[in-house]
Amino acid sequence: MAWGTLLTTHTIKSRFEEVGPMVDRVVAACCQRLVGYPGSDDISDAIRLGLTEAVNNIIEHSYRMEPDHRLIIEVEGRRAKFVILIRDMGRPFPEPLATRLCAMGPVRPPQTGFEPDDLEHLSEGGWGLMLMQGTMDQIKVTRTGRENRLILEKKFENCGCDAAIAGDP
Amino acid sequence: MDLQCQELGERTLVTVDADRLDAAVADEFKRRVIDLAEAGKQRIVLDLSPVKFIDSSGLGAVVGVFKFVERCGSLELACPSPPVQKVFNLTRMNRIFVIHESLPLT
Repeated sequence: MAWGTLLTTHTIKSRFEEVGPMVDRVVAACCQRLVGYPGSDDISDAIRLGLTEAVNNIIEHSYRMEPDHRLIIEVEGRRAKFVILIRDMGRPFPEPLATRLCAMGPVRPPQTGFEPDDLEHLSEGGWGLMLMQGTMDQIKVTRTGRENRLILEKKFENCGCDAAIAGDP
Repeated sequence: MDLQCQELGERTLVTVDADRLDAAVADEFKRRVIDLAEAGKQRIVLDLSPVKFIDSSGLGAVVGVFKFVERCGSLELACPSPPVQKVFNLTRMNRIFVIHESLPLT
């Protein structure tokens, strides 16, 4: 990425236990840019959840839980938004799902008509993509050569903050 | 992650003593709460107040515990922090669970 201010960059292995500490550092870097802004808790909560789901999804599907692959996470501050780039060298994101995700089209909850006496049909999974969509303003998925690139954008103005950070491109 | 148990009449208050309920601990959490149910704790209230973050894996573990316990007992939630409550709202799981806003239970 080259259009904003690089706030932080991290490289982790494809292990769930490495996700939380990395996300904490990303959120801390973002929060430094949000001091005094209204809605900063909502922004940081959204980044924490959306980034966690994105990285978990890559570990689970792109790397199929194999533990020693590499993910690179870069975070830029741009005018009134954060842009998070996640790179991996795993399997491509399934095309139909990528198209729906990038279009911010409907990713439904895994169940919509649950009845209390119908426990068997209550799903234990399937919320990850919906939570990414529910927390991020834009999602892009691309593949260049053998590299997957997942880009998450989180704007400030959606959380009651219209002003851009002074000095940002 | 640790679980603290306290008997409240017929119910057992299980406090999830962890900052996060995420993919790194979800399987352990599910197994340990199911162990409690299998040991005879059939009416469980999960105190989520220490949990400041939950992801889809943690939510899935809570749902899995719910499905197991509800077969012969009950599972309710208590005191979710605002970020945790947001996840239940986003996924509409707030419509499935009984969620107590405060303790002690009435």
